[in-house]
Amino acid sequence: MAANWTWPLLVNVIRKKKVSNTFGMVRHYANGTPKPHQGWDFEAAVGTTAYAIAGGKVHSVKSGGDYGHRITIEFEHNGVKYWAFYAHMQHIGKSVGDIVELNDEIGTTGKSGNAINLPASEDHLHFEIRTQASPGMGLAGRISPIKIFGVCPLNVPIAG
Amino acid sequence: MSVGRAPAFVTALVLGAGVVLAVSVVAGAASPTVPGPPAGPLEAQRPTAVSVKAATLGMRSCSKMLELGGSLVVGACRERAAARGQTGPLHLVVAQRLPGGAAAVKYTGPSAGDAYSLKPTVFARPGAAGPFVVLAEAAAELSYGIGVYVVDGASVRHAGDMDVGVATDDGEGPSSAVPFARLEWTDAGLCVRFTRDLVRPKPDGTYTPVARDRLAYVYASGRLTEATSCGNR
Repeated sequence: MAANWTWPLLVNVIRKKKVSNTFGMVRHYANGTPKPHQGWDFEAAVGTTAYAIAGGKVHSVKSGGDYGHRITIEFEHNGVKYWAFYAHMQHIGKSVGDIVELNDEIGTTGKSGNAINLPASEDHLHFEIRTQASPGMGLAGRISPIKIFGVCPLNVPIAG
Repeated sequence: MSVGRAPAFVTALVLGAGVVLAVSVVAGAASPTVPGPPAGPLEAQRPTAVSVKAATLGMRSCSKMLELGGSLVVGACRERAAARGQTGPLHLVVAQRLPGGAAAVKYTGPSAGDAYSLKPTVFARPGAAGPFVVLAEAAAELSYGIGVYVVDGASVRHAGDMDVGVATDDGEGPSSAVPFARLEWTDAGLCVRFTRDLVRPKPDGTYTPVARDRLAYVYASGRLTEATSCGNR
């Protein structure tokens, strides 16, 4: 059976190997209040090449706001439609409507949006798997990327 | 099934879980009382931004700090990491400027947790008369909410937090509600309301809408409490 997905980076590991950089109610605010994290943060120095995790179509390319430069790619996995979302990008080399193939270079990671305030040691790709093109707020319309990848590279980097 | 690419080097990693104590110093009386400025609206200020040497505050780094009048400044500073490879959390810091870019800490707010950014906005009565109110919005990919601080001379108090945001134009977020905040001193104390509909977090990580005219916050007797309006607590 032909492979139909891959990882977004050449080396994929959760930022700082911290659970708080995985999906779910894993973040915390001042008084300990849990906060959602909508995807996985992969360690990625600014300028790291990001790849299409599957063949599909570029649904949106946007800039500004808390996410910064971001791209959404619509793809199908096991007969179900999903949207792969890449945020805090430095450069995006695709446009809305472009057809992308598995492993196509789609741009480079960065620290746009709110990530601009993080020290360099925290540079990352914010990556989400969405079940809707317009998913709503927080965790709405999103699933853990482990549903696609089958494994979370929390402790051991995985080559893409 | 995964498709492999060429192997590449692996970045060295150091585990970084950090629970770091926030040092909170509140000048003034132990039993808080609300400052009693004349009733009326507060305006968002555009204070001069100045650089201070973070090391003199015992911090790893600070954003440019905002002048509060006199020699006081307020800004967001990142704490030094507790261990190599970790990253310390952000705090709101009020400091007194000293010659040569140095500064002395007057107040350090609680940790902003996992937030990537902490953006203070200063409010004051017309003419930049104190006491100042600072709304500090913490955010990562989405807003974590707003800390409310009252700065009255040398007395700095964390009034509480407003766990609200606003939907972005594309329905995502939530994003910061600070641009839509309207503050006023009333006979009951400080009141914060909003000119745009809000969202509040639910335990499952999604958000629920709240009409702008159904939620306000009132700071009185040392506590920030929710209200349905500025006149109806």
